[in-house]
Amino acid sequence: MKNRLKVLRAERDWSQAELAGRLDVSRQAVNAIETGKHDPSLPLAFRIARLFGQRIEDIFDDGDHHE
Amino acid sequence: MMETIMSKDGPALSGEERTRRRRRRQWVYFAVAAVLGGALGALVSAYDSGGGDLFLGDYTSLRLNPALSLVLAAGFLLGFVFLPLWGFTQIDEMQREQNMIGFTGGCVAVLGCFPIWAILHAGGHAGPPDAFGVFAVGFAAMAISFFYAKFRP
Repeated sequence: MKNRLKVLRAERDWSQAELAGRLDVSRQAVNAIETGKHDPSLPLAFRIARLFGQRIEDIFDDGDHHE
Repeated sequence: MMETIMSKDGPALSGEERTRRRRRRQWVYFAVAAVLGGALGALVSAYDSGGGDLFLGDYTSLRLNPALSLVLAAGFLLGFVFLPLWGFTQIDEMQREQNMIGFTGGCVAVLGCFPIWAILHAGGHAGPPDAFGVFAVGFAAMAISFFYAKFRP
């Protein structure tokens, strides 16, 4: 699943380790999400969205744009 | 600025502190597993009066004091069942997914190994199924599955 996590992290000048700490996951998990190797669970997606003050669908794109 | 999450169980911890604590617990897990495994192996080796070897397949020759065998069985229960299950609670969701893929690979291998081996034995292609052999195949499949999940492109 595509996402804007890397862009949002860069905008705040956070390292992967710093973001991982804020999300309470490993740095490897942040890297895997950014590179699309791991799709976060719904609770983690909500934590990410709340941390960046955005909606989940504004951060993650599943490629399905049907309303 | 640190993100602080409130908890009903006590003082809230920052995400960074929770991550540090989880990492420390993971190292404790590795250390306990290594010490426990070494201690169990050493005890089996030291008190075996039959000349067998648990991890080289010759387990039928092992002879242990009945009380000691119960203690060791409890140790293996701790090491092979409860410690891994506790370990699942100490890792994040991505690591849990990788571990679950590993455990699934091991489980599937054990389920498939015996009937396949028995059929091969019936056709004269292999010796009779062996408990340690099934364990070894399951363990190897678990390791391969885990590393596939961890390093897949």
